[in-house]
Amino acid sequence: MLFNSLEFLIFLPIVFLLYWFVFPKNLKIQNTFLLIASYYFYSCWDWRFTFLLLFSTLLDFFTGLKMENSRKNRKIWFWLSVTINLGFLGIFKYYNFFIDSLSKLLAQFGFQSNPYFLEIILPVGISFYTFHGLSYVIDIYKEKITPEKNFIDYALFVSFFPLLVAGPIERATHLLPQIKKNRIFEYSNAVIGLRQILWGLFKKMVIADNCAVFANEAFNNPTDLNSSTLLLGAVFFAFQIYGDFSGYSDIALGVARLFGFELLKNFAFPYFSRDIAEFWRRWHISLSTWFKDYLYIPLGGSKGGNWMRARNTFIIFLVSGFWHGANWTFIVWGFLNALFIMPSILLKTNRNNLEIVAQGRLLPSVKEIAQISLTFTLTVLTWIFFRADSLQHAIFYISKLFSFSLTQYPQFSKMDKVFTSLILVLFLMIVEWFGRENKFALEKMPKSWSKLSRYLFYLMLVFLLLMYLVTEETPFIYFEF
Amino acid sequence: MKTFLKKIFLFLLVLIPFYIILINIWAYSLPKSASFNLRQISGNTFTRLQEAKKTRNIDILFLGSSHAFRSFDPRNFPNHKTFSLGTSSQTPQQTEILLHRYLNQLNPKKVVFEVYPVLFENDGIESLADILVNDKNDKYSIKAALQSKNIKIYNTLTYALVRDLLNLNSKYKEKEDKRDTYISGGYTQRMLTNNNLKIEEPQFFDLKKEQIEAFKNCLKVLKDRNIEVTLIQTPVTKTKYSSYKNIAEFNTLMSSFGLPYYDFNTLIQLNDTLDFFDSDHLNQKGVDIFNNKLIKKLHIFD
Repeated sequence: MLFNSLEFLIFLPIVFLLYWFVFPKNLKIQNTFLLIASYYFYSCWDWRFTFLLLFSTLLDFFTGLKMENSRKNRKIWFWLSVTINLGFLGIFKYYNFFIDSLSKLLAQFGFQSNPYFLEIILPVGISFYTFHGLSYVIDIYKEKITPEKNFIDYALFVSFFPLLVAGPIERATHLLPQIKKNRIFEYSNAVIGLRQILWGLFKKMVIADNCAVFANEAFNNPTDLNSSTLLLGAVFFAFQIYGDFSGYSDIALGVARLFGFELLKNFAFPYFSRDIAEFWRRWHISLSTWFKDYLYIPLGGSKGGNWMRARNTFIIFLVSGFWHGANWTFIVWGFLNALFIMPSILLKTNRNNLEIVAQGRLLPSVKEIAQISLTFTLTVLTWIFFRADSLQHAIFYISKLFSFSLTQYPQFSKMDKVFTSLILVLFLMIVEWFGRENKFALEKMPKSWSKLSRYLFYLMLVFLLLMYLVTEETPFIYFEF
Repeated sequence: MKTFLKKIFLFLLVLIPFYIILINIWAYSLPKSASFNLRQISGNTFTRLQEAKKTRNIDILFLGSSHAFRSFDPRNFPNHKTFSLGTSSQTPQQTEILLHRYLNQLNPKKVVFEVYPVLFENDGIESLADILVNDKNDKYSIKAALQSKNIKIYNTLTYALVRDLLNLNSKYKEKEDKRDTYISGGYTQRMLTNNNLKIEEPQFFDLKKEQIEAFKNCLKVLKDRNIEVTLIQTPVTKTKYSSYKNIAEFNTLMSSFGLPYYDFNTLIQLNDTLDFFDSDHLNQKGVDIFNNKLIKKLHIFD
C-alpha cells in the first residue's frame, strides 16, 4: 500500500478515527490496534513477509530479555540476534550478489562454476526494520536501555506503519517511551502533521515522479543523447531521489504526528549544504546517525590519528553503500562519498557548517552559493553511480557527459514538459529555502501571511498535485532497499 | 478534535469549487505543455465532430484511430457519401461512445472499421481526453470518464463539463496544425514524406480484454442495425510492420468475428519514404494508392 494510493487514502482516515474515537481511553488496546493496523498495512505488500517481520520482532524481543536475565550468556544472546538478523538480510538481499561476484571472480582465474541463484523477492522494508531491531539489541547489550517487557509495545516500535517500509530508522530510546505514554490529541500538532503530509505528497508525486520521467529517459538511452541531456538527466535524478525519499519521510512523520508520535527527522534541506560533510548531516539522517553510533564510534570514531579517521570513514561509507543495494554501483557510490568527504575529515573542517546556510538572512552570500553549487555538483556525480544499472553504465554515462555536446540543446522527447518540470523544481527549492530554518519547509508558515493566504497556498498545493501527478504507478525508490 | 475534523471537511468543501475554477483558468492561461493532466487536442477532432453533428444519412462510415481519418480520402470515393469518425489513438472503448452518439443520425449503409493492434493494448486515456474536451458530453462519455479512475481524465472531464455548461465550444476555433489540411468528410490530409525512418523495436502486442469487449460491443451495435461491416488494417511502413512479432495472433482474432477482414500491409506495396509521413501514417500520395486498392478489393465500393 503506497502512501500515494487510493487504498492508503481510505486506510488512514479509518485507522485515525478508530484510534482517537474508539480506543483512546485504554493505552494497551490503542497500541494493540495500531499494531494490527501496521501488520495489515505491511501485509498489503505481501502477506507472506509478515511472518518474517514477526519472527525478527520475536527474536529481538526475547534475546533482549535473555540478555538481562542471563548476564553470563548475554554475549551469546547478543551475537545470536545480530547473526540471525544480518543473516536474513544477507540471504534476501545479498546472496545472489555474492554468488554472482564470486562466480565472476573465479572465472577470472579460469575456474568455471555453476552458481545456484535464489529466486527470491526482497521483503519490503527489511533493511529498515532489521536495523530497528539491531539498534534495540545493541542498546540493551551496551546497557543503555533495559529490555522492553511488553511484547505489544516492542512489536509496535518495530512495525509502526508510517516508518515500517522506508524509515526513518527509529531508536528505542526515542520511540518506545512515546509508545508507552498516553497520547493526547493536539490540534496544532495534527495540523502540522497534515501540512507535512501535503508537502511530502507534493515532493513525491509532483517533483519526484515528474523528474523520474526524464531521468529514466537519460539513463535508459545514454548512447543516443548529447551531454547536455545527460547532465540534465542526472540533475533530474538528484531531484527525483530527493523528492521521493524526503517526500516519503515527510509523509511518514506527518502521519505519525496525526497519531501523537514524533519520529526522528530524516532530512534537513541537504541540497543547501556547503560541503559533503554537511550534506551527510542533512541526508537520510537516521541512517547516518545509526552508522555513526553503531559502527563508526565502536571502530574508534575520530579518536586516534588521521589514519584511523580515514579508515573508519571509508568503512562507514562503503557499508552504507552496500546497505543500499547488492550492486557494485552502490559500493562505488559510497566510496566516492568517502573520497569527497575525506579532505574535511583530515583537515578537521567537517564540523564547520553546523547551522543552516544564511541563517537569519534572506539570501546566501556569493561564497555560499559557490559552496552549495560545488557540493551539489559532487552529489550529482555520485548519484550517477547510484542510479546506473552497472559500473560500466555509470562510467559510460560520465564519459559521455564530458564532451563537446554539453553546450547543445537537450534532446528529451518532450522538451516542453522538461521546462515545466524545471519550474516545479524551482518552486520546490524556493519554498524549501524560505522554510530551511524549520524542521520541514512548511512547519511554520510566514507570520505575515493571513489565514486566507495560507489556505490559498494549501489549496494551490493540492491543485498542483492533481494537475501534475504522474498517472503511472511509481513506487518509492527506497522501497527497493 | 472536532475543530480539526471540521476544518478538514471545510477545506475539502472549498477545494471543489476552487479546483473547478482554477482548472479552467489554468487551461486557458497556460501553454499546453504546462497542463500535463488536462486536455490534448489534436488531429482536427473538434472540427470533425462539429461536422459530424451536421451530417446525415451517409453511405460509408469509417471508424478507428488516426489511421481512419488519415487514410480514407472522401474525394477518392466520389460515388459514395462517406464520413470518418476516427480520432487520435481512438480505441474501441471510445468508438463505442461515438457510435452511441452519432450512429443514428449518420445512418450509414456500410461501415469500414479500421483496426490497429497497438490500440487494443492501449488504455484509451489520451483518446478519451480528446473526445471529452472536443465534443458535448453525454451519459456515455461521462460514464467512461468516471470508470477510468484516472486523474488526467477527471481533470479533463471537469474542464470539459464547464465548457459544455457555458457553451464555450460554440465559439471555439480549433488551431490547425500547419502541416495538415482538413477535408470535409472527416479526412485530414498531409502531403509530407517520411524523412525520419528509424529502427523499430520489436513489438509484442498484449491485447487488453476491455478493448476486445468494447470492440465486440461496437460490432453488436452495428449488427443490430444490419449494417455491413468490413474490418481493415491500414498500411504502416514495412519497417514498422516487420517489427510486429505476434501480428498473426491479432489477424487471427480479427478473422474470428465472421466479418471480412483485410490486412493491407500484405496486400499493397508502398514506399516507406515516399508514401508515408511517419511510420504509422500515409501521406496524400500513399492515401491515393491505398484508396485505389481499397476500391478494387472491397465490394462495398461497388
